[in-house]
Amino acid sequence: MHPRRLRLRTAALLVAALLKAAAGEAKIVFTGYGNFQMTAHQSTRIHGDAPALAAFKLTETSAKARGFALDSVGLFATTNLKENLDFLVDFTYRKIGSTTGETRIQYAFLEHTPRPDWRYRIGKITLPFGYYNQKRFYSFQRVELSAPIFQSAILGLPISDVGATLQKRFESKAGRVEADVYAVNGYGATPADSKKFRSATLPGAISLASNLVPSNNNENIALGGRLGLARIAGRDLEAGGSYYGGAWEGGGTSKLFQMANGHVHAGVGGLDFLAEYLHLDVLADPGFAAAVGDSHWTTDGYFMTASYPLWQVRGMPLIPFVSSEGYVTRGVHGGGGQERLQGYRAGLCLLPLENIRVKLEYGYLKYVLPLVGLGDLKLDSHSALLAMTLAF
Amino acid sequence: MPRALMTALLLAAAGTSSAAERKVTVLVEARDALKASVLAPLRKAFPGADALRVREFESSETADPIRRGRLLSVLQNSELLVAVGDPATELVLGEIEDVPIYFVGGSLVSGSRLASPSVAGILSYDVDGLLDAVGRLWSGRLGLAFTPGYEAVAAAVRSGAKARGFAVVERRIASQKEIPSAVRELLERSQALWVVGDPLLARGAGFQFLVERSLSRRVPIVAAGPWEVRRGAFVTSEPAADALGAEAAGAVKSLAAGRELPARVRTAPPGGTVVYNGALAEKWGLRLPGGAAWRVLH
Repeated sequence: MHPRRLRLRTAALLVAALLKAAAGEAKIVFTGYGNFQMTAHQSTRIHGDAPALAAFKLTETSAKARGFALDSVGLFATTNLKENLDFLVDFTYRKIGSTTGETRIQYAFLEHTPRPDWRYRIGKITLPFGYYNQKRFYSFQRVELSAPIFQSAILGLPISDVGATLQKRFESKAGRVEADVYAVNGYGATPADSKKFRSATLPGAISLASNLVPSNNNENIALGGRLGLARIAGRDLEAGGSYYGGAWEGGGTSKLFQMANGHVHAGVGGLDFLAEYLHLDVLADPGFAAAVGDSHWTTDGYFMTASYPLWQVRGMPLIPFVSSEGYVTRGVHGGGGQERLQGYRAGLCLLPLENIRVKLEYGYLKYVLPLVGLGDLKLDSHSALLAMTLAF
Repeated sequence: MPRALMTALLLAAAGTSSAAERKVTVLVEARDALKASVLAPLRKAFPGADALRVREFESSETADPIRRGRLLSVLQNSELLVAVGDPATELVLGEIEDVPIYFVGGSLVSGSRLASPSVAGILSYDVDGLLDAVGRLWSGRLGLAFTPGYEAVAAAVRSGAKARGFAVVERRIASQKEIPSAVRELLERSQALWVVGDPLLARGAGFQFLVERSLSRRVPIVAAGPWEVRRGAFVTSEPAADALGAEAAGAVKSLAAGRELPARVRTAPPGGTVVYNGALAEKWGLRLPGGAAWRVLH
């Protein structure tokens, strides 16, 4: 179906669902959360080769910062339109100061479960891609304070888009098989330049987050899926693989953007462990060729996180956690440098109540952005963060 | 398209049911001790595939606002909602409005919800069994602290206590500011104090004050549930699960058919287990009867 028609049809369905709810035929339940964050200490050092610094009009510099922010407030509206038919919306307010800097509808979809083993969603959906995107994105879903930097700051979390997804579940001897397929609007070119997918410019433009918008210059639909095995041997063990593929700009498969992900999650005996591997493959992108020397570039990397409720403080669980990540982006045919990101974090999460999480985290980040013929631009950052997440 | 087929499709799309009986949604915590004993007779009473919808939940689900919202939105659209056990009763009575609710084996129920005509159910404790247990250990005056909405329970305790030779000293407590004076008076004038399971008295600062005073005066608290016994109350009772399940199935069947119940709120049927605080019994040098009908909590 043409993306415009798909979007119109999706919008019509969502409006119909909202009208039904507004007409008083269904009751709407509101829940939500707030995430308050304090940067107790952050020191950042920008350095590198002089030509690379000059290209960004930078000099070698160190900066320190401290601050408090109401990181995000989210309201979840849920309505059960009829048996097995639900409508769900997440309104999230971010960058909150005296005014709200950003309001997002992170998801808004109609979900129908015609049979217990079949389910489909239409609307703005969180993509079934990996584990973190659907199950750990919100601060109340995890004990760690920060999300993996590459996925959150560069790829953009949550990966949610307009389209439809279908899930089939069935039990097997090994565990519960969950198969998801989806069709969505997909990533487009960078908003600043319709001929580039990713730009080697700082700050911000190296991120792909703003490429994923409901309306962009990309008429192609992206397709993908996830195959997972959950409840392995009856325990809280899960493993799966995900795929996303779609052209990022007109021209069919000659400008293909593909992602692949493998994930393993274990929650056994109090230990919670999650690891995800990510592979990106981008064709015909002149934007990042300025960094890696090739318009066909790939990214490979991982993140892992582990936590265990080791202590109790006056009956309140105190959970230490560690996490790390490492990503490398390079040109397929060589010739340029490598974008490298490494991050390490450790901290504690206290659960004073079931719906309150107080977190303390120390993190170290090392990032290198190459520029063809100019050398590397480097960033090192240490941070100590405090946060409180309240769910209601 | 034939008219009958068209009508059937329209009715199906609109979710219209021709059955006169209200559809029953049962909510139970996945690991609740009452689950099997209550669900079996309910399933027998509602044999149709669509007549009874059972929704199990885990405590972690209610801490996640997305999953909590999904759960509540389904419950909010129920025609008749049955909450089995304490966690389900607490969730449903705290969050769901405008839906007929029947709770089974709940101990923590606010008096204001108990007074609501859309709420009915069976409390987890058996008044006569608990009074028999109290009568074996103490005599004299029994204090009774209750909140508005608990009048029927208070009447059952009052008459049962008098029948066993107790004199009853009682106070109706409507707000937090009334707690200190009422508790002081009741503890000064009684040998044991019965406290109903209203969160005003059984949780938070009210309960904390009650426990501190009762321990300092060595006056045992007869509580609504094991949660309180683990935290300083002396004794409560747990229901006989099979008898509770059978009674609940009969009541839910009547409600689903639109019939009125003889009593909107009942206490658990006889035959339950008396549960007591082992540390306090040892500290106070009490000798308690053994056997299956008594269980110690540490």
